[in-house]
Amino acid sequence: MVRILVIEDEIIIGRFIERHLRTNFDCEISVAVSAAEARAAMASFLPHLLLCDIQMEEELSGINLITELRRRYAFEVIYITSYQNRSIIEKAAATNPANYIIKPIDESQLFAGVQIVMSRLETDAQTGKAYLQSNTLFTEMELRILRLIREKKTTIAIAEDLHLSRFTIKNHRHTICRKLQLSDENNALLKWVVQNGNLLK
Amino acid sequence: MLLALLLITIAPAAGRPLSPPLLAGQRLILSSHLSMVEDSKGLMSADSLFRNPQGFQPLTNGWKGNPTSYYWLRASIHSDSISPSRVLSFSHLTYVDIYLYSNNGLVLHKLAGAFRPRDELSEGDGRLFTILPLQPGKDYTILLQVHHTKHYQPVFDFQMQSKRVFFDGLRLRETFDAALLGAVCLFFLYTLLSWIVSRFRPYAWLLLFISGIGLYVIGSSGYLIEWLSPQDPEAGWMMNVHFLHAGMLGLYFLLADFWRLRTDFPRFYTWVRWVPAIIAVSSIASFCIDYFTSNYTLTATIACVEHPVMLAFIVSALYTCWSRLSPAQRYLGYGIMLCGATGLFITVNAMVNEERAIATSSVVGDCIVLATVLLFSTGLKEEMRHHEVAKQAALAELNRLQQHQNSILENKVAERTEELAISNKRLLKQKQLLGERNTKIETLINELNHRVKNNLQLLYSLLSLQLPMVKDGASREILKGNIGKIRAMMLVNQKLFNFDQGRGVSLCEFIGEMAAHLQKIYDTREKTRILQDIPAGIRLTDRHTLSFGLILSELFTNTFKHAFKDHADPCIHVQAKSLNGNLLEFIYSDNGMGIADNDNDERFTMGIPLIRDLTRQMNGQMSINEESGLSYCFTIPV
Repeated sequence: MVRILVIEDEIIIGRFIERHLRTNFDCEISVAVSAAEARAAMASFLPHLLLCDIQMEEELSGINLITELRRRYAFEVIYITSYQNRSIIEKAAATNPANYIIKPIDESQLFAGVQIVMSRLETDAQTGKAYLQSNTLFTEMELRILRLIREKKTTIAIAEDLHLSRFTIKNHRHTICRKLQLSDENNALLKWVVQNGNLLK
Repeated sequence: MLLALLLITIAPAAGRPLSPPLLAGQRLILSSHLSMVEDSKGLMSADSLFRNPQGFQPLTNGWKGNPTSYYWLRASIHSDSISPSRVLSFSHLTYVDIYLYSNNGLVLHKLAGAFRPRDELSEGDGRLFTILPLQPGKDYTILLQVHHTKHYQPVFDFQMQSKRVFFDGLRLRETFDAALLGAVCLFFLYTLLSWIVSRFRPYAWLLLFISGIGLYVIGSSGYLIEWLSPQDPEAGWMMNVHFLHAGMLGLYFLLADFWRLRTDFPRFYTWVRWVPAIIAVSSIASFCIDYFTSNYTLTATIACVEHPVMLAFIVSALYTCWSRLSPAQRYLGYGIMLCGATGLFITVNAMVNEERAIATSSVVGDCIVLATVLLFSTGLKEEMRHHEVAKQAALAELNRLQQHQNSILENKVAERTEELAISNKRLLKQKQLLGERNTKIETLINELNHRVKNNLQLLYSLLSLQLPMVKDGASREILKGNIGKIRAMMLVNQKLFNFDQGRGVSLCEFIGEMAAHLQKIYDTREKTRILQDIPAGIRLTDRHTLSFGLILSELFTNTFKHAFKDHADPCIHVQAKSLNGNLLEFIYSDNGMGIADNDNDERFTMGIPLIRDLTRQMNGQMSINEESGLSYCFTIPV
């Protein structure tokens, strides 16, 4: 099921959007009324799609928030805003949003704006995840090895690249497999990397 | 002079006894009366030679012998009766012993010579003359032992004069020398002062030139020996040539500096800069030769070789530079020419006359110094005048430039002023535009405010008009709730868009107005008491006002709708207080029936969650208490 996070500082509007999406799409929805709530929701809820108001508390804070979240999570975003200013639209475009809905919104606009993105999300496994960070699951060295595996390099090639012995690399691969709870064979790790390569940054 | 020539031509035969009835002022050249014997080792004694005069040969013109041998000269004198005392004088010989014999034997033995120490000379004698106290009417024999150590061919130019005439001549010569020397000293002082005053370097070189040549002249005349080293005349004599060299150096530097050879004639300068070195080398060589061998002839020869070098330098300098010299510099050129000519004269003179040239060169040297200094001074004056003229011209030019600069500055100031005026005008225009814009914005904002108010008013009016048409009870309640919320929005709008008041909305005032409006909608009979316990100072921030207004509207609506069904003394109590400055505690309570009695009440499907949501939006906390009636407690950051 697609997870959607609505970031809107007017809770009543947020509830309106929530209600409407719930009736039209098969999805889980959460509403955040501030940047702090949004950050907390991102970690626990891992949404596939964000509907974000650009003007929250201060000007452009929505865009800043999305820029910040983009570094750590894989998601699609739709901006909902009353701004029609060209420069703000350009700034918003820099964060690569999936769509841009201009207030005031009614049910049909909301449906059309979200529908386009939803149809894509249902077939796409790339969003709704956090990027792998060196301080969470893996060490920096393991992340480097994973990136090299993503480049289809063999253990020997990786050892040459990193100026390490191939036994060390094998050791690392073993640790990674254990952390990912994969069976300790080369193909399992390679498959995992092919599927989750985009999370490696 | 003519008399002297006459005397020489009619000179009596050599060796004849001398019987000079000398008239006053006449001078007797002894050379034709002398006979000579060479004593190469200096072993002979005067006595033996007096007794045995056989070896003496008559003195002939142009004889040659070993220059450094001892020579004995002999002459017989018959003194007259008028002025018996005679002075025997000569010009250059370095050591002369004078023996005077009468028939009775040795009468007198005196020492003379250019290199004799002072204390070996007799009282009243000079180095180059001696007094012979002859008795009248007696016969004498003079024996002279001559030892000339300068390596020149000795010239026996002995002369005899009456004492008075000789000393008159000597005094005359000394007076003349003193006059010349005085003139040179005057010029020296003048140049020194000029140098001190003007700090113009050529003056320093001119000083060197004057002092070099002047000292050379003084030294050549023997005065320097008399003043500085009477006990060691030879040492004093040795210095002469160095003075000459110093003078030449002075002349060279004067020329090089004043004509600016280094900058104006660099190619010529590369050649002539060796001249001082040549002079220095020859000076050192001369000193060594004089000191170790006393061979003054050789020194003179070196000088004679060196002089053509100087001459060549002068001629080439004149030839190279003349066409490009300024008039002032040309004056020095004339002086240099004069020096060159003199140098040529002295050199030729020295080559022909050898030692005798020294006598003439001193006077010529003095004269040349005077002439050169005069010419050079004229040149310098000319130069100074040119400088003055140039300075005046430069000053005038400077003045003109200054004026030009001033006018440019004035123009600039005028331009700048104009620019400033233009930019001022532009600023004024901008200010005007800004003002216009401001009023436009103000108009727009007023317009916007008006529209918002109007729209809210329209909605309010529309719903209020439709209210009587709705018969269904539930729908009526919803409509009433919405009318209340719109009323709340209108109120917030009115409070927020009041420019004149400070930021924020007074809580007390706000709640009072909200309560009054909602009571009008729900409690038309105004049965309910509304108690407020809110300090006047508490204000709500702009951001929270609308949410808070909506919460209030919801709370009042709930109470009016559900709490007081047939209640005898309905009462609503509103309290607020500030907690540690940044938290607001707000308590709303009614004394109606609680939630328990209305379990399926609609207010719990829509009302309370909305209140919760709005509290969350304000980042606040909320709790519900049901002890007596219903009580809500909020804590909201402000």
